[in-house]
Amino acid sequence: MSKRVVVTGIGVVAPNGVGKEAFWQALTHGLSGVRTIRRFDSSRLATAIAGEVIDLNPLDYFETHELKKVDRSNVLAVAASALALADSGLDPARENNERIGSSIGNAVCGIEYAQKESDVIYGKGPRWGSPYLAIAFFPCGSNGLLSIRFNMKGPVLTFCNGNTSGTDAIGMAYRLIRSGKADVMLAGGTEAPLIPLFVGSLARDGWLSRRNGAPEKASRPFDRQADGMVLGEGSGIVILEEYEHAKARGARLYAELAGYSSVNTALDIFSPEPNGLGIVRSMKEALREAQLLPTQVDWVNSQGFSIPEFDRMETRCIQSVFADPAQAPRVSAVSSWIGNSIGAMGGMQAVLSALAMDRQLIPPQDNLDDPDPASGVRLVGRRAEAGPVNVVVQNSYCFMGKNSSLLFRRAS
Amino acid sequence: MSGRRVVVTGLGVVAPNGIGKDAYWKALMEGKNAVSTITRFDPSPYSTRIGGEVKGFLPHPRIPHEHLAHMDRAYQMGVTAAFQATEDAGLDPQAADVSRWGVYMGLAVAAVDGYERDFQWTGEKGLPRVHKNWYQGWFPSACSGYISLLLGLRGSSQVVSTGCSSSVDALGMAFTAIRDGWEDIALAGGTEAPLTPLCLNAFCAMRALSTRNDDPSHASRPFDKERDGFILSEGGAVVVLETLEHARARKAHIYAELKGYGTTSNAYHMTAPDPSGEQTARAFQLVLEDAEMPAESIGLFVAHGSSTPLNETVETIAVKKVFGAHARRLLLTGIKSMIGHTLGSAGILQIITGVLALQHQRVPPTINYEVPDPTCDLDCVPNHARSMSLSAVMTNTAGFSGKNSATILAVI
Repeated sequence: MSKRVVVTGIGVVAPNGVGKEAFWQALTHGLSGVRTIRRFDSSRLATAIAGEVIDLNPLDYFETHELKKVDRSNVLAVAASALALADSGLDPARENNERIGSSIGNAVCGIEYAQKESDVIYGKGPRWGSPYLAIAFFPCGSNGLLSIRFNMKGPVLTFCNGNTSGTDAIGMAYRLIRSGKADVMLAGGTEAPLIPLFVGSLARDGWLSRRNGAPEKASRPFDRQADGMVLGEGSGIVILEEYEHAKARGARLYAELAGYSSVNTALDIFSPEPNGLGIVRSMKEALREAQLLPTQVDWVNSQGFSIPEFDRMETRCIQSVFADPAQAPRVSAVSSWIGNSIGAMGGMQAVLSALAMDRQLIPPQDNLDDPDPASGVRLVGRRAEAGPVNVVVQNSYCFMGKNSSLLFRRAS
Repeated sequence: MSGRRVVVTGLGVVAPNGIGKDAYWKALMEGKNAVSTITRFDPSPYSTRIGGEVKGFLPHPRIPHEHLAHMDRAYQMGVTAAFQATEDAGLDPQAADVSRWGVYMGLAVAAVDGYERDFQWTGEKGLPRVHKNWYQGWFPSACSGYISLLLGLRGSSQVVSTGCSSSVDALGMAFTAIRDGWEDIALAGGTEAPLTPLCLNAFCAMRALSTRNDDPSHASRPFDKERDGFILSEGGAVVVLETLEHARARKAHIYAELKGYGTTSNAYHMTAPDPSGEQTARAFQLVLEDAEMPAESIGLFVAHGSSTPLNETVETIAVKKVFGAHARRLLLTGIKSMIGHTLGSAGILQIITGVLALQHQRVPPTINYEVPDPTCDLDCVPNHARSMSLSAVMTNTAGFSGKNSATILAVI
């Protein structure tokens, strides 16, 4: 008999707000997190904008001497996880910590630290290299720090699946609890990809929006004026908990996680599969697992690349699964406010899936000034819309043909 | 644990001591050393100048040339092993419904070989030298993505990164996915090509590597009192997993049954093992419970045996804790004595060793064993292969940040 899994805490470090309340207020008051990059001089790159986290003081979470040992993606993960744990009211020290684990998505590793170290060893010489490079750079670095800081002795897993990393990390954590391998899993994603080489090469290769004069207008999924993706950084973490465990301690139940599916289209590295073999399947399988019908879904928490070819693929898939226009769910993409934080994206989306259910509002979407008429789905504009929000489908997809969906329902 | 039974039906190996399962097994049985002075770059500036290179590696001929140009060496090895494993299993994805054929790959470091070159071209001046879509070749996501794409597999495609235990955790995820019905067939394994200046120096700076530069063939010496650090190596390996029912129906050769998987976390230190061995022992207990087998049924223990001063001492403590009096009858073999430590593929190479030991009823030796260490007083099969009657094997792999992941394999 499989166990039920609920969301009992959320933590978010986003470009437009740190902490669930600031994040929610930003979204509902129209505050974009996309700005001119401050972290380095981006003035000579084709794209000079990104979703950069500016409200986080690392010293709230690390001592000064510890900060030289960690990558920015590690800092973001620790902050979001601390917020999520505090929000859940769960104290790992008072639990059986062998039944608590973590599952984190991360797509590009500690790229900033690696760049810095590459400059050091090729510039000054190997003797000047840091003994902390491996810790800071390895994809599992963030998760290792979390396991030690929060004293978690259960399954500790990191997933590197590009844009689906965060969603997959949450889905795999859900399966571990479902099959009785853990009681509590800290799950989500973290990413800090903002270095000149990465931003510069993505921009040069035509993937990024070049709307440098109006950054807040740059991320516009499903809009006809979309000219490319906006890169972002951040971390989104949810606390997943076995239902009886959560009930027994009187935890607040944001939502139940009732379905997960991940499939591959095996078609091409960069192009979306036009017929939706991937995301249609992952949505349908997640619904089937939760024993729900498409007509019961209230909101599709979409990834929205802000690249027309991909956005059209996604809306075509949504149309195909939710065929009845009278009962079609509403669709919006949080990437319009914060950019695409790759491995953290699924974590950010999951935080919002839980918040939408908690607040009973459908989250808004920025920059939908000229909706692509071909989309044919019920897009939400700049204002949050009234619920009910009983069932949410969350979609992630990325290069290499990976497609994943999570299904959240209201916890009863 | 109930659920579908999972068996191993195909093996693919690209290891420093042999390419292909037969060459690999022959080298293991002969106790052949594969550690030598690094030739892939000039190692003279580094405190460790030796490693386990895969000499004469040729990418599998079925990898199209346009992909090879971008593909990191690590992924070339992983894809090659995946092709070998499917061929060995006698599977033809083109002629089957592959919608539930997944790929689960482990990777510890990401594709250093590919990005390291590009990291040197920083700033806008260097950008023109970075080739188009350079990230496609090193994104960790590509590790499983290329395999799904090139074999046309449409189940889940996941990259698990947990440091040196990555490939065991990837296999663990594949195992549970098949057992619980999410996948019908899975390719599971790992790959790593960490022999680059930046990565080598990262481990040198941590003082984790052997510095026996003048005597590479005796540098890796698990369980020996004079072990002084591990040997950085490269390689990729993949197994085919499927349900027992499916394998029998298609009259496949069944190597072994995968009986269980268990994973724990020390929550102790990022790089040092917990000297108590408490969570290492708990991983062994978890995998025995998962397999529903008594400790006495295990005949061979394929050890992590990294040749670091603390590792084998802790491993011995943990084995004694769980196996009790039976520990004295158990054989512990340390294959890293011959091939060094391949990080993200280390665990899957141990697992394949276990599978082949069951198949041939023979046990490969721990070579370079000269000076007994009183803290490692179990039978480590010193220097010469042995024949023995074997029905079940346990493997243990330790990962970065204190991960412990174990599996059990048994004759069918």
